[in-house]
Amino acid sequence: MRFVDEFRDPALARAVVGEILAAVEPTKTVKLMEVCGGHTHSIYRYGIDDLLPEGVELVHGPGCPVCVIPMGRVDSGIQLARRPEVILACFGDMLRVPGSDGTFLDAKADGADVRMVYSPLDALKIAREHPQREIVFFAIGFETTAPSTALTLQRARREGIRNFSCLVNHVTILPPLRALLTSPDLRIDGFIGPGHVATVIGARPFEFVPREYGKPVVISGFEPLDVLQSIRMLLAQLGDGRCEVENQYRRVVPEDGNPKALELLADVFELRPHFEWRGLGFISHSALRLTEAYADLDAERRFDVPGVRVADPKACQCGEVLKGVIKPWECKVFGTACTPEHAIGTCMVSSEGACAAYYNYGRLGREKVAP
Amino acid sequence: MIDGEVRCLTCGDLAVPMRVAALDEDDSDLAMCVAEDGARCEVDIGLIPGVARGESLLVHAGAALARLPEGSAERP
Repeated sequence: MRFVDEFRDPALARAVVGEILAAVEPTKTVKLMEVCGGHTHSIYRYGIDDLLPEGVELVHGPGCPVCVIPMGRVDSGIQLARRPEVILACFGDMLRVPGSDGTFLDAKADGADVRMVYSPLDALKIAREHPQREIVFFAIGFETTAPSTALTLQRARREGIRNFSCLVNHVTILPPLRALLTSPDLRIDGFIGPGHVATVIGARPFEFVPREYGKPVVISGFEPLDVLQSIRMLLAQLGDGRCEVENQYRRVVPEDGNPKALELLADVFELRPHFEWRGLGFISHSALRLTEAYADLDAERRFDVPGVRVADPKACQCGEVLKGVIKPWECKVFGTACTPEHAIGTCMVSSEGACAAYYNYGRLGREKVAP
Repeated sequence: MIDGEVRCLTCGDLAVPMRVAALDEDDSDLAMCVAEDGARCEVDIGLIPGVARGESLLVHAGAALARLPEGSAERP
């Protein structure tokens, strides 16, 4: 496939790895964080980590929307799903995310009408097909999924569909990035930036990272060569003493993002004063809710959702994994009590979660294959 | 399922390249799109101006977010 095969070419990959080897100082370790879970997935699926020299360490960031959702929000969704008039629709990964008293799948087994959908448009279709029921879409994701939810809400409004609403859990990537940068735990030399979030918001919003925190950012694509080239570009910036936002993924990401999508988001959503992130705590202005104009399509207002806060399980170290303080295999329950089949923490649930990526690709310990 | 793997649909970082197979005659914001493995689905194209049949789009959760270089969603 064009623009895929070229970016998986082994000979080209070896050449870029050679450049990375040449750029690393033998006595130094450079820590680079891939912000989004899509990159984590690519890194382990293609064995990119094994190609890198000891002096380059990849740290996995908070960019998996399933992994950062707090238990209280899952509980709110399950509570709605248990109402007899409600059909709760959500993405597949959400079904297995544990709340304080089970998952959406458990609720479904108990008789709740929970349905997996691939898009909010599918949920709206269910609403058309069941006019006598209340369809609630459990909306999650970063700036990449928020437009789809917003388009669907506009469509529901246009079509006059009254039995559809959204429980909005959309989050934005920049505030947690800032929270990480101000965290005393964090020791990161540069960031592999989230390519598809940038298709919506553009590359410019990341400029505060070099300007205020002195760390370089390279917006990256998701094929193996994209990631390797982004690592090489970050090492080049560090070697040259430069510190800026570079866009490796120019074939998809415009500097200013998608203006129509940004306009849409501004119409449908506004920032919440604060939102809880699993493992990271409350972060100001880090999540979206519906504007007053869409209040009638807001499940939180329609059903009076209580919004209970639930502490994360004590055994779970997702927070430290999400901040890159520990590797997944260093968590006390990784691969034993916590597995993809019986996840305790959210990082083990989603295919983009750092723990699931380690587990599924056989990275159960600290061993590293020589390049 | 794309490329034989399960792709996460909850985050745009594993968005799917799709080719526009047909524009919806009744709704100019909708198009039937095809992934590389032949999977078809209805996509909201309202955020990409002037989409034409045969174009490649980056689709996430049923919404097209960006135009892709020609041929990105098909085998040559």
